Amino acid sequence: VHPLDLAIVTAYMAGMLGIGAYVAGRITGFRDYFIAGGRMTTPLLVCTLVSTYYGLDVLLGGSEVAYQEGVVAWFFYARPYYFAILVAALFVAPRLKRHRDALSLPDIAAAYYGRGTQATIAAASFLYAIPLMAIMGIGVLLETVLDIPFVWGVAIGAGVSVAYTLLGGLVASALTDTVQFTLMCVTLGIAAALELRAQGGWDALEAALPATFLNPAGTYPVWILVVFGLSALSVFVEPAFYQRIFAAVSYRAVLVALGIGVVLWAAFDWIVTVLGMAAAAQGLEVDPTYALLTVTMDALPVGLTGLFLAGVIAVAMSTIDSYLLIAGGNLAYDLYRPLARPAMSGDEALRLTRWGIGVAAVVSVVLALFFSTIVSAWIFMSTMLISAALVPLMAALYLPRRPRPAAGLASSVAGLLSALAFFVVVNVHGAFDEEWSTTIWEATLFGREVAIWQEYAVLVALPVSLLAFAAGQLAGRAPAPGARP
Amino acid sequence: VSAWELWTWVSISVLVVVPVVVFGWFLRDVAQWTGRRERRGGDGPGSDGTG
Repeated sequence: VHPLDLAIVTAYMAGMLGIGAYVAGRITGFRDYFIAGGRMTTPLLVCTLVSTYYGLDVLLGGSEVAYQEGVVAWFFYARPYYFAILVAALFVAPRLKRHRDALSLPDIAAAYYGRGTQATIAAASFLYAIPLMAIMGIGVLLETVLDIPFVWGVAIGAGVSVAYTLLGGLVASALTDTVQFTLMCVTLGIAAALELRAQGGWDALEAALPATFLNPAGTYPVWILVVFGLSALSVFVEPAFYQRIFAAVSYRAVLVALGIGVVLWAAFDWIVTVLGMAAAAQGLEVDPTYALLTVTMDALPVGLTGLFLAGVIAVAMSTIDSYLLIAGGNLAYDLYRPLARPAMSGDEALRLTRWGIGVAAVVSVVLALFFSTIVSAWIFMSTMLISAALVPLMAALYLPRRPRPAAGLASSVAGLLSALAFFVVVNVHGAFDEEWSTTIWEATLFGREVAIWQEYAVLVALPVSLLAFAAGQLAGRAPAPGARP
Repeated sequence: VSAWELWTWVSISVLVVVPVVVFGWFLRDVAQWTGRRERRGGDGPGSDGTG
């Protein structure tokens, strides 16, 4: 790497820390720290929504699928999310905006079902939010590209984002997101244009790829496509999405921001897909996870390489900061407060959330060692969240009559436990499959051989959660009259 | 030009142009906050809850 590129990356890191230090002096309480005092405007929301939701897991996961399978990465891995986001913007966001006191996803569960459901959903949200792959990804990235030893890479990359999040909370996260968002989009766009030119245009790219690469469904088994599609349901219970809705100055600001966001996500995902396919067309023999990085670094000149690297680090850091904030809040505000200290003061919530952020950062690094690919980690995390939170929260927001507290608790606990049990069983009985880079259990059910992927967990856990909700509605006591919300 | 190629160039244009416009919009918001704060002599952006 050229010294100029290195200087750009260093200046970027220093700038992020500077923003955190600047904001830290202006934080006046927990609400300020956690939802920016509820005064985020449209452009700030666009930047923070787009860059937060775009982590290394999506960037590298999307290009990993594209490198191995082609345009299916966009059609089935990415596209269902845009539909889910539009539905969430039109139907979920306005209902959430009515809850003026809510600060987080588990707050909504607490308002309808009580502390048990709040704690279960907070645990699922924590599992979902810990940015394990982004933290590991930054370490691998700095090691691969800058020859910085892995441990130091993790310490520098994650350390910087942890530092400014600890200092400035959501305001620091969102302000850094504006820079990160611009950097990541523009550098990726330029990289794609240069790479396409280097490949000799689209036609040359297409000619170098197997015909199946342009098949929207690729060669994945149909149930995996269903699972990819179902994982988009996580949008309806996405803690970062909820937090930003509560932080927005108005519902209109959320709606416009998500509209712009969908256009940007669609463009970004497509370019990631094209770059993954470009790596395959070049015949690069690389770890599929890093196909995009390899092909892009080759295509860019000095100076732009540094900007691109800063852009990729930005992709990771914008995710790390936001989700560490959420995970830290889950531990302190959503779990510890209701279970142990209901009368927690704002200052104490602020202090404990900062400790929670530190704990979440450590847990992220430890868990990252368990997963072999970024795609499987992403599916695992969204499965946990969907299984525990989707049924009770959508029922709370949409049933004509207020659901029974027992239904929320039964549904969230049964969903979470059945998803965890499914992953454990498949990992105990199954074996890692090199071709698909995931764990598959070749089981015999009713005399038939079936391949059960660990990704199928949501197909079991979601119906279990729904049945448990129905059982809770039948057997549980009605909510106390006059109770919130 | 195939639909794939057209969509690729549209995507590249969106990625280069839209973020710059949004960033400019954000800077304009910041300038307005700063102007309001100076006129009011208040504590900071949105200190009255309006942003």
